[in-house]
Amino acid sequence: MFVFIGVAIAGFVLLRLQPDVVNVAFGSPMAFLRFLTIATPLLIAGLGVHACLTTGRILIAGEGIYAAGGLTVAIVGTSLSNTPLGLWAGLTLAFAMGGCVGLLISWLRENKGVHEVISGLLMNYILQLLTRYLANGPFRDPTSDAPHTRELPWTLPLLYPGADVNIGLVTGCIMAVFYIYVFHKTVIGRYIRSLATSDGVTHVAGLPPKRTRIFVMVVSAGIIGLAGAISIGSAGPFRRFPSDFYGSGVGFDGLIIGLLAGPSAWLLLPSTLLIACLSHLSDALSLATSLPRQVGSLAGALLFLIAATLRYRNQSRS
Amino acid sequence: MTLIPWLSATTNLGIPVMLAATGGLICEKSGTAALFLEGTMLTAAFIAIRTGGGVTGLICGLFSGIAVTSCHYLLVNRANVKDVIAGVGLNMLALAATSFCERIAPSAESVPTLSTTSGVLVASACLAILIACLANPRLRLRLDITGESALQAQIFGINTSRVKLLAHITAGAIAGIGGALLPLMGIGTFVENMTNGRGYLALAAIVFGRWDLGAVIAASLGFAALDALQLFASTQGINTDADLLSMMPYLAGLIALVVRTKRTGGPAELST
Repeated sequence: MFVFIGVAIAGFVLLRLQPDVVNVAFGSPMAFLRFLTIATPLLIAGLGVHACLTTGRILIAGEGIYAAGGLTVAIVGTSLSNTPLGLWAGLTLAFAMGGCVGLLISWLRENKGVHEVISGLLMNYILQLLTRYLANGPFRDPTSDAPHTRELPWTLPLLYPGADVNIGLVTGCIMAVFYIYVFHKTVIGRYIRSLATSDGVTHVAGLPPKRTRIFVMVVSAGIIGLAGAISIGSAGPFRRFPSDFYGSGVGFDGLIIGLLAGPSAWLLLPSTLLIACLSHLSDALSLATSLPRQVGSLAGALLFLIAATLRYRNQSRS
Repeated sequence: MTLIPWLSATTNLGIPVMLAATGGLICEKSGTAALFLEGTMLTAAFIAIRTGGGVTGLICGLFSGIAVTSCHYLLVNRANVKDVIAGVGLNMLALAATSFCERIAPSAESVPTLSTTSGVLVASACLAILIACLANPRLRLRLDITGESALQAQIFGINTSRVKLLAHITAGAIAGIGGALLPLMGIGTFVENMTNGRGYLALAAIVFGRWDLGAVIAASLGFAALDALQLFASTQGINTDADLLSMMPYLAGLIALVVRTKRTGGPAELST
């Protein structure tokens, strides 16, 4: 709550000092739709990270998984361009690709004792270089000078003509509602959440803690892979996987969202809107002033530390 | 084909990773996960170049490393943030802050650098001091007991906060020197995200070396040798993809973690 109040004050100060920036960011319907486009993958990625955090595990490989999901949909979508199944096969395989990475990380954690943060960070670098190699090498568009894959023959159904807001936003909202219902209203969800503090309750309930954690991380990573796929499938006129897709920061932003939301899934939406707002405002700020876009990353990193401090401070008090 | 360029690149890349790993080892032995190594190295590299390079840059890099690890100490031991989360947060902050500053005012294209021989001498001096400290039974025992069980250490009258603070300062100083040597022994300028995961490789070397100083040094040099393959291939005109070769040390790090199953040898207080 303190974070949200602090950010609201910062936003008010920004509004007073730089009204043009806020006007560029939210002053027109199209600007607001751009904001929703930014928020869509963040919501889905944040959801994935949050689900994993509820079991006491940190899915830090989100950035790499997001890129892997995006590349998967680009490859599958262009390979199956002549069939109507290309879109759905791409999204499904992107989910599966993310799930495979999640499976590897969680298997290493639960069975080999390798901390998921260390393996996840190394996995990020591996996926970054691997996706760059594939987009720049075997799957590069031969007709273009720029390093990216071929153009997807389809795009995700748009919600508003002329803007990139698509069905991904609706999917994200439905997933969020479903997630809140499962984790807050069902018995299994409550048992899974108890894993963050102790294995005992879950074990007594008949759910094997290790396998449950692995399952949740697989699904979480799959969701982040799906976020990457939705991002590539909705990239307006581009619809390609660029070789530098990795640095988009959605995976790390998802981690900030997950931490900001804390143990409550209800706070996922406001956290997502806050981070999307930050990203959108930093873009507008860099357009209106000479400040670099990295101001958003700087604010995000500070928010991460504040959110982590508050979350874990509360935990240790309880 | 001569292997001298590869050995030279291995030395230049290996010394920073090795110093970061040995610094991180001290912190891990006190029971705190040293995930901050990446951010510490990056900050030190940035400060070393911004303060004019050379010996001044090296000393400023050392102090910047101490500043980063002191922040980590405060977050973990005063604000009760999980050590892993605090480390990741500081790494993100270091990356964002250095990139932001670099975009506003780019670093000088070239500052006075240090020769490889100087780098080796500095690293040897650091290691000698570290080995001397660890050879002192009183210091070693305090560090080990704190890492095994802070509660028992307190029962024995050991001030665990002080031990952890000293371990953080030592880790910051050594990793700071390592980070500063990265540009000072190399290109002589700062590039955004120039550590590029080497702090995490240092961490993997600690786990792979099972918290044993000699094994950690060997592991970090091994990772650096793989890291240097890309530079070697480009200088020798070998036609391989740079991205695939760059992936090797990270892949090796991950495999190394898998091979060394169940963190045997690690301090019991480390977060699991």
